[in-house]
Amino acid sequence: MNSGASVRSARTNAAAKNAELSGMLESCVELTRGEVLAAGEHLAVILEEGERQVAELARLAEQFETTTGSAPAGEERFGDVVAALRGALEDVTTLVGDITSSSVHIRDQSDEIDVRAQELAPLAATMRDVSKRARLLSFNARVESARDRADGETLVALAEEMKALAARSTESAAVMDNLVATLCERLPEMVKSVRVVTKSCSQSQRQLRDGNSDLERSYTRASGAITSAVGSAQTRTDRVQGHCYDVLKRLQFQDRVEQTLQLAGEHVTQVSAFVDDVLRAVEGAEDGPLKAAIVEAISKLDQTYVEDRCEPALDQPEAHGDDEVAVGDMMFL
Amino acid sequence: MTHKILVVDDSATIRQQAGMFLRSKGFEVVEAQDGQQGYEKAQSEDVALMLVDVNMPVMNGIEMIGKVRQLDKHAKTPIFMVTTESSKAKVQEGKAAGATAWMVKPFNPDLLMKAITKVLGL
Repeated sequence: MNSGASVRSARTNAAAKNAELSGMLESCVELTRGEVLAAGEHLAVILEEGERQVAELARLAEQFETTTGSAPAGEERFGDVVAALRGALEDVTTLVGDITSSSVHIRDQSDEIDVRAQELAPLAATMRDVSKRARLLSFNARVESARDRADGETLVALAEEMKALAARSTESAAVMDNLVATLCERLPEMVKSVRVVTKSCSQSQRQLRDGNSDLERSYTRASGAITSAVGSAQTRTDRVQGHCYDVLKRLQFQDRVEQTLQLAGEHVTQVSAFVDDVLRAVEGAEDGPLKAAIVEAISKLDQTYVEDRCEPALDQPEAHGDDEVAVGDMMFL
Repeated sequence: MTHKILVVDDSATIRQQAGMFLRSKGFEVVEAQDGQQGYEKAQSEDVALMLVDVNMPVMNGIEMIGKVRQLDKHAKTPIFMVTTESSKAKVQEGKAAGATAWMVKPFNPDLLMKAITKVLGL
C-alpha cells in the first residue's frame, strides 16, 4: 500500500471511530435525559394526587361549613326544639294568669261573706234580748196572775207590753228572713265559683306538670342535638385538619421535586456542554487507548451523576418507613 | 387538685382544639403562640405538663424545651412534642433537647389522654 492510500484509510477509520464515539456520547446524554423524564412523570403523578387531595379538602370544608358553620342550618336543626320550649313557657305564663284571676275572685266572695256576717251579729244580739225579755215578762205575768187574779189593770198593761215586744220580734224576724234569703241566693253562686276555681287549679296543676315534662323533653332533645352537632363538627375538624397536613406535606414534597428537577436540568446542561467539548477535542483523533479512556470517563461521569444526584433526591418522604413516626402515633422517648 | 397544662403552638386552631379537649377532661390550660412566649409561661406558671409544637416563629419548640429544661422547677416536667414533623432524626433532636414524648399531628385525643394520665400518675 502506498502512502496516499494509507492516509485515506487512516482518515476513513478515524471518521468511523468519531462517529462511533459521537453515538456513545449521545447515548450518555439520552440516558441522563431519560432519568429526568422519568422524574418528571413521577412528579406528574404526585401533582395529580395533590390536586385530588385539594379537591377532597375543598369538599370536606364545604361539608363542614354546611354542617356547623351556617346559621340557617343551625336554626333549621334547633328551630323545632326552640319553638317547643317557647310554647311551653307561654302555656305556663297563661296558667299563672288564670290562677291569679281565680284567686282575686275567691277573695271578693270571701269579703262579701265577712260583710254579711258582720251585719248578722247585732241582729242576733237583738233577738237574744227580745227573747230574754219575753221570757221574763211571761214569768212575771204568770206570778201576777196567780196573786191578783182580779186585777184587770195589771193584765192590760202586761198585754200591751207583750204586743210591743211581739211587734219588735216580727220586725227582727223579717230582717233575718231577708238576710237569710240574700245569703241563700248568693250561696249557689259562691259554691259554683269555688268549684270553678278548684277545677281551674287542678287543671293548672296538671298543665304545669305536663309543661314541665315538655320542658325536660325539649331540654334533653336540645342537649342531645347540640352534643351530636359538636361531636360531628369535632370529627370533621379533625378530618379537615388531617387533610390540610397531608396536602401541606405533599406541597412541600412537590417543592423538593421541583428543586431536584431544576438541579438535574442544570447538571444535564453542564454534562451536555462537557460532552460537546470532549467531542470537539477528540474529533479527528485517531482511535487508541486515550480515546477509549475518555469515552469510559464520560460514561462513568454520567452514571455517577444519575446515581448520586437524582435518585436519592426523589425518595418519597411520605412513605412511613422505619425512620419515621406515623401520624397520630405517640412515641415515648 | 387541678393540673395545669401549657399548650404551645403557633396555630390558634390547634391551641383551641387542644385547649377545649383538655378543659373537657378537667385540666386547666395555659396557651402560648411561640417558643419564647411558651418559655415565659413555663417560668411564671406552675404547669404540670407541656404540649409543644416544633416549627414556630420567634423560637422553635426544640430550642424552647432546651431552655425550659434548664429551669430547676421543670427539670422533670413531662413535655410532649406535638408536631407534623415525623422523621426520626427530628425525634432524636427532640429527645436530646429533653422531650418526654413525640406525637405526630393531628393528635389522637384518646392516645394523648392515656399518655397524660400515665405521666401524671392519675
